[in-house]
Amino acid sequence: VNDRTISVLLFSDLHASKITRRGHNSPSYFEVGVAPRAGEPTPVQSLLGLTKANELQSDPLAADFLVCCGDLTHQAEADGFDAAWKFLHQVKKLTGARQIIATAGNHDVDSRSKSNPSPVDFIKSIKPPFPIQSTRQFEKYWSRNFFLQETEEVRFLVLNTTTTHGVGREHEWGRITDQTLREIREVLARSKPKRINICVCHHHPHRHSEIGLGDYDDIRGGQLFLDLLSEPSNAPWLILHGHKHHPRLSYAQGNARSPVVFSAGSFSARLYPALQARVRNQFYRLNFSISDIARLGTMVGTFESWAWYEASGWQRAPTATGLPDRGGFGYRDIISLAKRFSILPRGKIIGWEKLITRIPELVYLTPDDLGCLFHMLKGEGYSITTEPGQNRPAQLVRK
Amino acid sequence: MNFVLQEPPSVFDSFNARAVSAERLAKGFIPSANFGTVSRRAHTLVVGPRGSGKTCLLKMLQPAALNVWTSAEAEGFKKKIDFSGVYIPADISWNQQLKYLGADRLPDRLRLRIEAATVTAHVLHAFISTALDRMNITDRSLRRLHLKLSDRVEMQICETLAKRWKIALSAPTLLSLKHSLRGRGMDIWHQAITCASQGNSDNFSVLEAEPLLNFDFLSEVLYLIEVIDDYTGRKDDRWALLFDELEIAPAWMLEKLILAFRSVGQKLVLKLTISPYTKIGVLASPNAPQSGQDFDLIRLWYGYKQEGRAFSSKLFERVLAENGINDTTPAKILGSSPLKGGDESSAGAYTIGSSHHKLLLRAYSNDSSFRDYCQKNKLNLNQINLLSEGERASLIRKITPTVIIRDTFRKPDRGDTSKILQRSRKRPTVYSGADTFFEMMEANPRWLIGVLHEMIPIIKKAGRVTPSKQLELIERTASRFTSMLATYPLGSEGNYSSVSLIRALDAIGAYIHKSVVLDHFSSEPFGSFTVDKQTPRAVFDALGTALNAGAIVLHGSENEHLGEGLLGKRFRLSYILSPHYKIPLRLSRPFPISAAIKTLKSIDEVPAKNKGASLHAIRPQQMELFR
Repeated sequence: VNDRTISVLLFSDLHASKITRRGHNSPSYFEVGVAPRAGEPTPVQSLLGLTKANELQSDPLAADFLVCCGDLTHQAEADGFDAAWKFLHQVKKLTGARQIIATAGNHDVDSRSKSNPSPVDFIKSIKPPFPIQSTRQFEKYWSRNFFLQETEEVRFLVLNTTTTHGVGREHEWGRITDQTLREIREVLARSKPKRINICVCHHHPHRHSEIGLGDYDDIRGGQLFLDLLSEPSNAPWLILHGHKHHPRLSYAQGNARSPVVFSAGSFSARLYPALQARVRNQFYRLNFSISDIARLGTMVGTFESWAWYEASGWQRAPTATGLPDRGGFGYRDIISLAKRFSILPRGKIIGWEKLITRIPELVYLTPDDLGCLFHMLKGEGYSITTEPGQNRPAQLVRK
Repeated sequence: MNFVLQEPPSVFDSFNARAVSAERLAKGFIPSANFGTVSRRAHTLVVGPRGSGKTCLLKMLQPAALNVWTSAEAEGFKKKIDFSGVYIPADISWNQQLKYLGADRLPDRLRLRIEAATVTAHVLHAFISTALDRMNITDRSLRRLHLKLSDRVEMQICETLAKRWKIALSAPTLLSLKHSLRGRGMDIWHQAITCASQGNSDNFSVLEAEPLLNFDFLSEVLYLIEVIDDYTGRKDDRWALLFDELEIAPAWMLEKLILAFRSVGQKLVLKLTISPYTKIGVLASPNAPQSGQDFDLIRLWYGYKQEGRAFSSKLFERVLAENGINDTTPAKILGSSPLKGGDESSAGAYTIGSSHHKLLLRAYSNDSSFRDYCQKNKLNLNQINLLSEGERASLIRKITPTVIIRDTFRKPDRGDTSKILQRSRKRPTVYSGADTFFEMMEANPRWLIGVLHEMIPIIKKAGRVTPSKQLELIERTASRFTSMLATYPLGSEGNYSSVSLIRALDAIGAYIHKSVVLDHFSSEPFGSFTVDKQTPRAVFDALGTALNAGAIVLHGSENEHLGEGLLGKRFRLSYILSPHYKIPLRLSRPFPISAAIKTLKSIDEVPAKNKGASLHAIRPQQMELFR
């Protein structure tokens, strides 16, 4: 039995930037060319700290892959892009990751031709090459707008949704053109599904309009893309995207094998006022147990999230500040799970850690589905305590 | 390319212990002698200014902190501490916010009961949290504190308590009880504000129906202890309530807790922290608890330099070690202190041709009143090597700091003292060196950690910090400190604006500077002040604020506290301000503060450019550092 775990660090929307005007907030906490101030952690410094073992940290941050869903810089600032790209390489080295899987966001291409008539000249010239070192893949990304990157257990589909930026108002949304969709279909038909199938793009493939975030900027052609990934001949997919700065985890529309859609919060952008009160800056690590995927017959995984606190840096944040500090995705059958609670002894206080040894699939429910499941159980003779702001039960007593 | 790989954070990154988890605090904790006192099973009142480490002392008494405290010093304390500390930070919302949000529209009696009920919910919540922490103790040397409950007993305890407090639990567990208490405290508060903002007295009855309004937090804690004892059969269990920052709590609460020192019984001890200038009327009453008999008093400032120095050195070393800097000493990094005798060995210090000798000769030729002093005392500077040790101490060693400060800040007078003798020095490096550094830091952990943080990159690069750089860092810390002083709200009784607090300090500093540097040489110039009857009322409040912040330091016997107010007490300026005011680091002779305050008016009449830099005046420029 292969009990290996594959882990993926997930960053998005760094918006690294040089401050241009004194006394005004930069668009990002990732400030380029500014010396850190004593006692004021920065996301960059604090993250690098997490990768080092010390007496407070016996388990330093490590991962197999490092994914970045775009917007490394802000408004196509060359210095910002350069710093963020170097930072990602630094993190790759410190976490022992094998590879960086990145894609461009709308801020990474010069769609307003600030410094060059071609929106992509700068980003194509950066060293090391963006988004990938391999010349073959590099050329596919910039000519066909996607490429597949495969290892023994993981298949990444890296998609560029900014290819039409620079034309008319196209920079206001993402797009997958019909031609790109056709080509993806052909390439997937020839490629063998893996245990783990992850699509990386910048824009969201379905509507995401909570808290007045607008519903105009999703990928044009996104629905057709989701339908394509949901086709019975395809493996279950996980889509990682950024752009909204609003963390959210859901299943896409479609059939029972529709993709999991993971909207990553922003790593370091200063959040706009509508978001500030609801979410924090976040980054994530996704973990996949190969043996559990084999046992359950579908791609399941867990996530861990870290949230940004200006005074204390990155913290595992248990309360609702975007996505909770841990959770899962991929297991969707809460009705049959609910029936399995009858195996629990009566009159005992059962903590979460014990509960998941009895019903291990629980860790693969999304936070929303956990909420549904325990709401159902409360009416059926179970008393349940959850931590404030969480759907995961801390303790359960079967009466 | 400007991207710089930055250093990872360390346990010392956060300067304020209040926001730090017990676990994190334990990693960097250095027990002072005061921790020995506070860890006794006795009522304790800890008095200290901001940043003096009050919170840290209390937080380290929590079982969760002891459980993860693993340094060499830890074992002895773990064996000794035989009570479970419940840390309860005072919450400003207990009174202040309620007032601002319109609670004055509620009848007084009701408002007080609401305040009391939110306190009760808060205290019980903290207590249950600690009980949960005790269930998770893993360290074997803390077995005494480990609370082992079977599921059945835990459920019974929770059902008993929930019934008494009329709480509906989502599950009969301590965790659920803890969550409910937290929610209940917020609900009461929320209801009160809603009622107040509607101003409709019909709604008051809804509020009054809240069961917690009828509970007194101390009685409920004692009840809670009894319930746990009865269900577990543990009769020797002891608890401590650790109330932090009571100066921001409602006054009735502090009084109640202090009176409880004499009445609370065997099962529970109380440990309270307050700022030095906190009014405690009840201590003046004839039946008041007595320090030394009914409670231990800990003063967290260091009139006693030795102990402060030992603590500071340890902290210094610990921070350096955290950052991978070993095999060095403060003396290697900061050098010797000119104000403390410099490089010279004590034997060579006052020989002919030594730097001290040259200093005295220079003063003799530059400073006419110093010449008078020598003549009056029949002091022949070319024969100082012939003086006995006793004579040297009384005639020379005593005056050396004054002579150094005069030498630094005074122009040669050439016999004419009517001219302006003030000399400006941008970075007076006489204040450099390890000994002086530690004195200026006043054993204040927050200042020390702040300055050290800025020194670490320099030490890593060069192994030492130059005198001029030391002064730059000290001045930056001092100016951050005074910027903070200017933001302090003064009590509603004072009409003095916040500038007045800074200006009062400026007046004191200028008065001492004049006495040390500008006036005729004196072997015993002014260096401290007493609060006399002529002091204006508003200045009392300013001084109280300065004292709570650590800008001035109370001088007095160990059992002295400010229960009876400031009048007649003796203070000095914090040594961190010495370079700014160009004065020595000495207690010296006291003057009545009203004499210095009187000069405030005349300062106003002098044109601004002649005033000399006030701390207030340098602030805007310093603020740029924070942008």
